[in-house]
Amino acid sequence: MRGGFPAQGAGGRLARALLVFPVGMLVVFFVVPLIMMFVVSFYRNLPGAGWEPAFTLENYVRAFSRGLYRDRLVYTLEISALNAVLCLLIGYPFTYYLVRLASPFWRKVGLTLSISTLWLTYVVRSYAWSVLLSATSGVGQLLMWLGLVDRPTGYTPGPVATVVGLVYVFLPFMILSLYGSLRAIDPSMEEASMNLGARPWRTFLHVVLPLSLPGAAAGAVMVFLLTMGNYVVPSILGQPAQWTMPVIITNQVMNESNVPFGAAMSVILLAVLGLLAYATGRLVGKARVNPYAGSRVAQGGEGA
Amino acid sequence: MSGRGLRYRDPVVWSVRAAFWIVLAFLGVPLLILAAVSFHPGRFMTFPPQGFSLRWYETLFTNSQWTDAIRNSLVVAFASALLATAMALILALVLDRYPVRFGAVFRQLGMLPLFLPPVIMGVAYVSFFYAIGFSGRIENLIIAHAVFNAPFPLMLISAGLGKVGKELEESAMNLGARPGVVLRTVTLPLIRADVFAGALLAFILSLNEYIVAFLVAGFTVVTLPIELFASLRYSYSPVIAAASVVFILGTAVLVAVADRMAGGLWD
Repeated sequence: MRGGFPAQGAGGRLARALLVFPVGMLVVFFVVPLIMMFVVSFYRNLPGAGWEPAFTLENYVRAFSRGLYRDRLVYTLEISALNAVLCLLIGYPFTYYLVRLASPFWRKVGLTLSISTLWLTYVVRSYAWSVLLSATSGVGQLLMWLGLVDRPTGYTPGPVATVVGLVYVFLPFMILSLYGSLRAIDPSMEEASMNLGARPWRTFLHVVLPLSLPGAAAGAVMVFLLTMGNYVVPSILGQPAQWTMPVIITNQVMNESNVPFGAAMSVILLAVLGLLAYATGRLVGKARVNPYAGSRVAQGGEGA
Repeated sequence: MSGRGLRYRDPVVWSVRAAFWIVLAFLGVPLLILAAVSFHPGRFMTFPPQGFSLRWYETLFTNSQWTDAIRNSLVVAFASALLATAMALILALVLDRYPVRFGAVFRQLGMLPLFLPPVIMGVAYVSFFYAIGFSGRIENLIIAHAVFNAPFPLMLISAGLGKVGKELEESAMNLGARPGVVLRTVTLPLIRADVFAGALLAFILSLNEYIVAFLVAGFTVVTLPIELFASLRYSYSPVIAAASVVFILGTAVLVAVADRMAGGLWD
């Protein structure tokens, strides 16, 4: 018997009967909708009149045969990889410094500040950058004031704004993942290395970096997967050339009312994500790929 | 304030320190500028603001377009947080305290929404609710957000149960208390803070969620993020900045409370 409560008897039966509510919710409103999406992806779209149950592969054929959609998928993979690399490069030195702050108080303040934007809606965070990179407020005027440009120019929407926005939005996840793995490294290991005569960068290269690699890899994978699924940032900060798969899918469903085609592209995106998650999961090994890995929130998810 | 490992005064240490402050500024400055813009009295956003006015905040809380969105957001967030927490509490409690066949599978199922891209979940809901002829209702959004955000209370409550341990419950039971009484007088009071923190996180996440809400009921139930997104397509008015500031402050306060209750969410 695992728990303190009796496993048998009326109490145990009642407890297990209660499970019907959460598990039923998850099956009916999580598993079934996903199955439904898969089914609808084979339906035929009736322009202006919803869909017609059928078994047709035309949605998939369209997604793969048109260069437009193939290009968007490739672009989504590219920009997600770029974002993962940028977040890693920016987040690593930051988190390393943060973890090694001597005062626990300042460490907590620094961590809280750096990941506090994580809860804020993507809409507001993207919007902040569209203000900052616009011609009338922020960077445009700053450059003119510095005399670097003759007239204020805006950088939004565009590729620069999209990349900056994606880094801004997903950096906190990277910091969180790195924080967990860097925090687990005992500072006395570094001290031992340096007492033995190794210079700081050598110590870093041979002690800290190898130990933090799983967390760094897990963070990069996480940022990559989250970017692949993000709609808000590329649609606010990007031009059509920066639209990723989620933007294309949402436009099909909401603007074109073509749910079957949107569903087919969602199935493709999900399959690509699943494959990548599986492949990188083997690469990452034991490190946990969880958006909130490294936080105490995530620790309860493993189960008792 | 260099840490124990970084005691050399070499350029690497200095550049890492500089990088630290630059990143902190990178994360903070955009939101500060947004706050500054929201006080600009003119009709179009400019930075630095010319003058100081609260008129856009007045618009935000008096214009029905915005107040409706705020009300919808609060209703959906409150109801979905309640539902998510109820699901999570039952799941966490029963799986933790009773041997259940397939218990691990149920727990993973409860955590799975965390790993699915919201846009795909949104399309799944569109397909599902349209197929059963029940689209565009506020109830759909409440259910969708509840399922999607339930992993957070589930994580926090499971962590809380692990922390509490089973000794106190066993003592109560050895003293003759029945399971129902133990649950009410021992277990629940011990994990109350985690339950509230989990509910708060679900509330915050629902309040801030855009794409699932847009796909599930975007044309009928306009929540605050949807209204924000729609208005920044058509206008460049500082009222959007004012709404953002209210969002930032509200989220900050709620996260701080949740952090307090859970005894530190991060470290």
